[in-house]
Amino acid sequence: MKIRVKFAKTGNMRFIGHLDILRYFQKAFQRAKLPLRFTEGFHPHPVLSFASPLGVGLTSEGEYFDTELVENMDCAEIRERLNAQMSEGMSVLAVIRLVDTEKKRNNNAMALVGQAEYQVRLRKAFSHQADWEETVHQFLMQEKIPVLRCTKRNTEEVNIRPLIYEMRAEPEPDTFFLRISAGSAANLRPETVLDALLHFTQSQQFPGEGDAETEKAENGNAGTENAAEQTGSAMDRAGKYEICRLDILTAEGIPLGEAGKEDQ
Amino acid sequence: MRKLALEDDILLKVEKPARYIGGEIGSVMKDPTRVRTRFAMCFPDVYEIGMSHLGIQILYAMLNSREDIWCERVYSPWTDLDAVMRERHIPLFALESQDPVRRFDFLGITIQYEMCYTNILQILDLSGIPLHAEERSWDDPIVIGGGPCTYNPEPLAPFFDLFYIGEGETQMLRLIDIYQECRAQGVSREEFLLRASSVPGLYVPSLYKTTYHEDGTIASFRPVVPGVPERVRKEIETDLDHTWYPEHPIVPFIKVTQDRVVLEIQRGCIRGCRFCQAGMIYRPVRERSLSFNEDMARQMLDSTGQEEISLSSLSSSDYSNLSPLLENLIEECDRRHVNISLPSLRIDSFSLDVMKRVQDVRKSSLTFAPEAGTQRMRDVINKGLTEEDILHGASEAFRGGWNRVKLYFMIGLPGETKEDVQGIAELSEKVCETYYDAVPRENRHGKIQLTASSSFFVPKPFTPFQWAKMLPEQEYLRRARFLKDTFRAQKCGRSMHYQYHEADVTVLEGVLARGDRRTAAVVESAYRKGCLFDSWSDCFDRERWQAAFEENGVDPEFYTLRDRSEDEIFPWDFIDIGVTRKFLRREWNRAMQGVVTPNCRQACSGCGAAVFGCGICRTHGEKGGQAG
Ligand code: SF4
Ligand code: SF4
Repeated sequence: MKIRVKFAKTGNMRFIGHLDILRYFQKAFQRAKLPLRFTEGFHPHPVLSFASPLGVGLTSEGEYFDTELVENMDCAEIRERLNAQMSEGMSVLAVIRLVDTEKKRNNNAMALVGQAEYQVRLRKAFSHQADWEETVHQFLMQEKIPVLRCTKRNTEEVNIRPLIYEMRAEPEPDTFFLRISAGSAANLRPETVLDALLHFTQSQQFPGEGDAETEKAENGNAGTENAAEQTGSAMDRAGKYEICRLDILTAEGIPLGEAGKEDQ
Repeated sequence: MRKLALEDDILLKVEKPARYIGGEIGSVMKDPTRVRTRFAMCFPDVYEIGMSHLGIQILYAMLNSREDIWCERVYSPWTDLDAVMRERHIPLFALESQDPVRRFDFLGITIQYEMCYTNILQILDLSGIPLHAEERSWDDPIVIGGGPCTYNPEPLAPFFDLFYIGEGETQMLRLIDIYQECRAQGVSREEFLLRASSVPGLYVPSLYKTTYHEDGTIASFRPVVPGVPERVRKEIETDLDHTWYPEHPIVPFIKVTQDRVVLEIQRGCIRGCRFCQAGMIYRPVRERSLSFNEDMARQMLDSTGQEEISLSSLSSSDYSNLSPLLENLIEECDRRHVNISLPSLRIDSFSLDVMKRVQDVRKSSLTFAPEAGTQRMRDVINKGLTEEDILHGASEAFRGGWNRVKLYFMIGLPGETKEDVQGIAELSEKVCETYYDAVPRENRHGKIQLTASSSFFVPKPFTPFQWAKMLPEQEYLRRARFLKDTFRAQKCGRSMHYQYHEADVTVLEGVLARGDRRTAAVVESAYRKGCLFDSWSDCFDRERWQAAFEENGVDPEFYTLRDRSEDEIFPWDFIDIGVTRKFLRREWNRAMQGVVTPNCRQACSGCGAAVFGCGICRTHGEKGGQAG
């Protein structure tokens, strides 16, 4: 029985990296006595394939992985039994049964990822007390939002505007909602968008003057990239922003929890 | 959500923040307002190492089984966090509550190796606890040390209020009862320590005084307060089937050194190798029953979901029920897809058969610990492993498909000759040749890969070699280099890889292992100069240590290179481990004559440990009790 597990990773669990979360869930299934399918061979191991690794320092309300049990079981029971094994900050939000991937090959969690939603809050030191609603509006009105992307060999300019599908200031102070491109085709990081926004704000306040610090931050963080583990700049990121991933969606904007369900 | 002691900006800057956040499955949370006594249990090394230690998990389970006690964990902050904590004046905290250690009633520190001594001072310092016990008040926790290094606690004497000599299961709770009573009565800290000194196994260093002869050796060691016991006998758990065991061990979020559940199938060792401290201080060997071990394995796998279980014991092959235990475990673990790891198994047809079933032969390696290269030297150290055993075991293993071998040796053993050193390479060569003899060309999976490692021998208290002198650092290195050349000159030299441990660390370990109270000042100076994590080769700083010795006018060679006379008073002589000094001396003499002594299963040699009236001594009946 193939299942997709949707879970939240909040609180202090934000300090646990992706690979450790994987091992954490393997053990949780064992404790819950849920019979995972193991690979053959001398070192049998279960296969848990995650939709998109979450960097250290970020929390999430919508993470996903797919796996397989050797028995058919009730999804609600699986969820309950897993939740009985969670540590503080982790909870299983939903377990759904997937159609057999043999028949429908491209519906594994990772392949489906196309967008992601985030809530980002500026930490105090970086708060700008701007009229965010208006600023975000103007920010999005730009034809191009260029950011610098550093690769090993050179630095190039990338326009991230087409990768931002939705962005708004939330009623809470210095808080934003983002729906941006994710996945193997074009993975945009939320802090890249926020860096660009802050840069935009400053250039509006002080036209003509580039702010050295923001530019530096931009160089460090900017860019779209396909790297699977985005833990590189946990410090930069967390120093400035509190980021929570709200959900992961397909390219069409369907939450992964809805996509690939058996009845589809 | 538990509030963390460290802010996000710190946690995201340091390596592996999970080291400092607690909250793991199996960790115990209690309401601090509803407990009477708070205990911080510390392993003074980095989290991944400390979390791998079974002893702490046993005591954690035991202390937390009492509703009025909350036991939490503390590990050494790694150097990155250490710097931040000093700069920002953040006090050291316990993982569970994240509360400052200084607010606890007890700080228990397990002392597993000499090279962690500066880390102990780091723990005290970062906690804001005065380094010297005499400067502490009721505002500070009672600092209590335990673990193998407390069998010579003297180099740490000024820093501890108490030492617990022996196995923690027996008297810890009683000590806490006395503490609670003292606090309720409002007596002084000194009065509490005095009362504690009457608990078996407890040693209060401030109640004893050492005097020295002119030549620097000890003239006397006595209690300074009437009524305080002259000698302290180690505590042992006599019945390992009816005692605490961590049924719900903590499951770390991150990978730790022992990333598995640990089943301690027995305690102690029957063998009596003459260099081995564990073999003496944990006497007599006590087995846990088959049913205890099986139940515990099942419970721990259930409660943790771990993917691996490891049998723990000094010498697993000597466990009498090993075969049925493994049969059962292999079946159980197969069903659960759990791996079994079997360290400390002697290589013979039984163990090879078992290993074949639990490991991937092509990926695993065989381990032998002959410790010495010649039979003469193996007789001196009483290592009952012959060349024939090794070559026979190796030959069988090679035929079974193994082609990787690890061999462990020691250099600098008492009376070592050039031949003994050479013998290490020659024995290794024979193992290689055995491969080519045993396995026909067409069945070979590539070349044999042999790794030989040597450490330099360090004489430890309570071993027959406690009288032995060490060698100068240069001599260790000379012998190791000579051995390296000898390896290269062998026919199979290209299939063999030889490596040796650092000699400077060995010499320091030698000083601290047999040090007295005067060496404490050196440890403190070294710490003040910045020494920390001395067991990590990239942290060890020999110049600073050298300066610390000079500053205190302490000559390391007094502790390492001096001949010790038969009746010299040793700093640790006040401790009674059951095994008598007379027996150890007899063993020293037999070593010098190259005479082997049978192990406890073959015959009782009357070492003295029969006073505990348990374990293997009982199978020898009256005899065990009488001899000594
Ligand atoms: S076999 Fe020898 S070296 Fe190993 S634990 Fe026993 S006494 Fe020590
Ligand atoms: S008294 Fe005898 S049986 Fe007991 S530990 Fe000593 S030598 Fe072994």
